[in-house]
Amino acid sequence: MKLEVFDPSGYSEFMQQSQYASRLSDLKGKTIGEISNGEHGGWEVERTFPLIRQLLNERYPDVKIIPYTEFPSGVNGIDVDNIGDIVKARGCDAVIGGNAG
Amino acid sequence: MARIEKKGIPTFSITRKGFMSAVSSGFLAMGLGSDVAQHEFPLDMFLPGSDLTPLEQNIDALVDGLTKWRPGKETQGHKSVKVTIEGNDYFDANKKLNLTFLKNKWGDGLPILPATEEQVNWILSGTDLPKDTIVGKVPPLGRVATVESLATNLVMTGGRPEYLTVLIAVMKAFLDPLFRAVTVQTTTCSSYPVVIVNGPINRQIRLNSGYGCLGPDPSHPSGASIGRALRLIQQNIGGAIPGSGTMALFGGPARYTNIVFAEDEIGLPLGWKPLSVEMGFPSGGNIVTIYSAATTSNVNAARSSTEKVAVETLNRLARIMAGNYGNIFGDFNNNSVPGIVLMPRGIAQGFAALGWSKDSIKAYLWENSKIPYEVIKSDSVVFATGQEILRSYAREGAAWPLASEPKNIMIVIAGGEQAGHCYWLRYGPGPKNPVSAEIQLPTNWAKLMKNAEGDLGTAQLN
Repeated sequence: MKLEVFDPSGYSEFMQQSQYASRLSDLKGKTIGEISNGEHGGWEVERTFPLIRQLLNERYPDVKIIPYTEFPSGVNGIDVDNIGDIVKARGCDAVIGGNAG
Repeated sequence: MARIEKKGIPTFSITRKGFMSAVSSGFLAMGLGSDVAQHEFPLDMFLPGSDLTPLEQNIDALVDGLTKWRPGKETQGHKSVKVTIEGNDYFDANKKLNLTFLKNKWGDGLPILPATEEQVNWILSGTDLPKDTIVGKVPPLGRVATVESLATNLVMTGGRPEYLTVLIAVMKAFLDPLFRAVTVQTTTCSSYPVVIVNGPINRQIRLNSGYGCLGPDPSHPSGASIGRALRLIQQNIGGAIPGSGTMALFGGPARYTNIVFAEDEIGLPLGWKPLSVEMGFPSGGNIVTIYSAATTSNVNAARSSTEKVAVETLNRLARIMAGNYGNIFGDFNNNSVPGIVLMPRGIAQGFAALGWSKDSIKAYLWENSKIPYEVIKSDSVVFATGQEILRSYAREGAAWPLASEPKNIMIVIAGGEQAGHCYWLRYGPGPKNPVSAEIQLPTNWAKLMKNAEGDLGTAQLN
């Protein structure tokens, strides 16, 4: 007895990897934005991002970091169509996203 | 983060153990590859007072992610294919089919029916749309759902052709940007879609609005079948697999079939509008409305025999509504709906006889379910999340309302003739607002109804 059935998982489309941003040559003198997808007070964001800031500043004294508190936060704050425009308007050369969940 | 990458700004994601595939799925949904500049840290690091040493040890990964990381090779997507299963007999083949599907992470652990070409074509007779019509990309994975793949999943749940057009409308509403399906799918909250159907189609497809309307009910099997098909689509096409595509901590029984039921329009008191009309559609239309719920509460001793008892019922409801406000304030906006009150016709008609309208009940519940300021302020995480948003809706020091206006509290008549209980379906994260969509009946609808009557007998009034 043979059963031939449809795969129920739909299909995936062509992946446009070229849409990824080019990486930076270096972080020296760059502006980096922090984006938090966690609620305030959750996932220790108030501890992890300051530590990242400190570690990056030790390596790159002239790097400018815009803290997560200056951007929208939470899933519904950052999962918006214009989030790219928001960080671009602040002059970000790169973005670190987190925290965790 | 994918949207930021598309603006030419490199990103790096800090993720926790178990979340990498959810992040990758988000990138896939935006048409990017699944390999993302990210680093997975142990879960312990994200707990209060944790050791942050892993962050110090891996700061190079972060720097490299912004400077050296490169995406992998481009990959071509593929159309859906068929799977062949062999067994000694039908029972053996079907058993192997179920096992194979589970290994592929398809299905929900309950038995599924084989979606053979014959069965899928039978279901496809329930729509005029070509089978390759694209319904949309289902997040978080962003795989493409077609009418055929909807029919495939509907076969697996024991569905019928007349359910397909409802499922198509549900998917249209599910994928509406206002529903924010990516959040509904991936949230850590154990929420699930709730679908309410209005219109004459309810009786025709045997969708329950009466006793046991949230299921199960062998006399009204369509709700479970349509809702289970939606869940399989969320999982099989959207990738909402526990621990990767969906991070709901608990899941829950309602996730097997979601919640799909009908409004008891015949039981509506005179002058009370059905939900579909409140959502802006003409009376008598076949309309689905989709929402997301995280918790349910049965509200006991609900009656409306006298004014005193009716007010006590509303006070009890209001206390329950205010007692577990969950994510309501984080997603608060002009049209956000804090939850749905289910009220059986026996109670609704009692309220109407006492002079209450749907609007006056909503106004009473809105006023009496406000969260006192001292209570909400002492709930520091929720307060911090909501205070900026609520500033526009409640003056400093005032109680917080669950909705911007009383009209945003939904009341749906369902549950049968009897009094005794109401039900509260509280908001689950995702939807900015509930979304409605019209059901398109196929040209062969009368024939489908005749076939259904032959198979199931005459459809009964709820």
